[in-house]
Amino acid sequence: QLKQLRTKKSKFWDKPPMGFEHLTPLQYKEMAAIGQIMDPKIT
Amino acid sequence: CSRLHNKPTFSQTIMIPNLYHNPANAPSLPDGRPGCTMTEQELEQDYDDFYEDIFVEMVDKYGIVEEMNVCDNLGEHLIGNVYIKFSNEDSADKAVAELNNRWFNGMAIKAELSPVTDFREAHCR
Repeated sequence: QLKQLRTKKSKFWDKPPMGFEHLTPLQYKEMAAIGQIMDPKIT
Repeated sequence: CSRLHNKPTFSQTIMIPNLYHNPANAPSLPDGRPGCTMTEQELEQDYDDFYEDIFVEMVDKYGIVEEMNVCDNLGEHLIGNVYIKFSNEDSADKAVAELNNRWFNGMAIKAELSPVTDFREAHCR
């Protein structure tokens, strides 16, 4: 029933940042944490 | 706020920081024009779409959602935070574990358990 609530396909879920499609989010966060990736959202 | 937030080991509620980027808060352009030109109606639609997107995904993947709130405070540690209270702790645990390895809008999600159980009583000390 709840699935019918979604009126259109999500544009946002599971969309990686451009250029990082080859990484998992966990890998991305680990690399950002050690400074291998500059991500302003991760401090 | 001391920013020394209590992080519980079990909870029905999860928190995803800075998930909603309200277009109304876009910074002004260098020439002084406002960063957001959306109408009030468009802003409301943007928020409604976001809320539906998150809510439906939570119910679909992780469990029954009792309540969900998006923080509109402008404080850096609060802005755009999404709080989701599930009907049980197992759903919250599963959500945190899986969301921490998912993307949303080009962002690697950081999810954690939150001590908030009553949103009407919640406030930063």
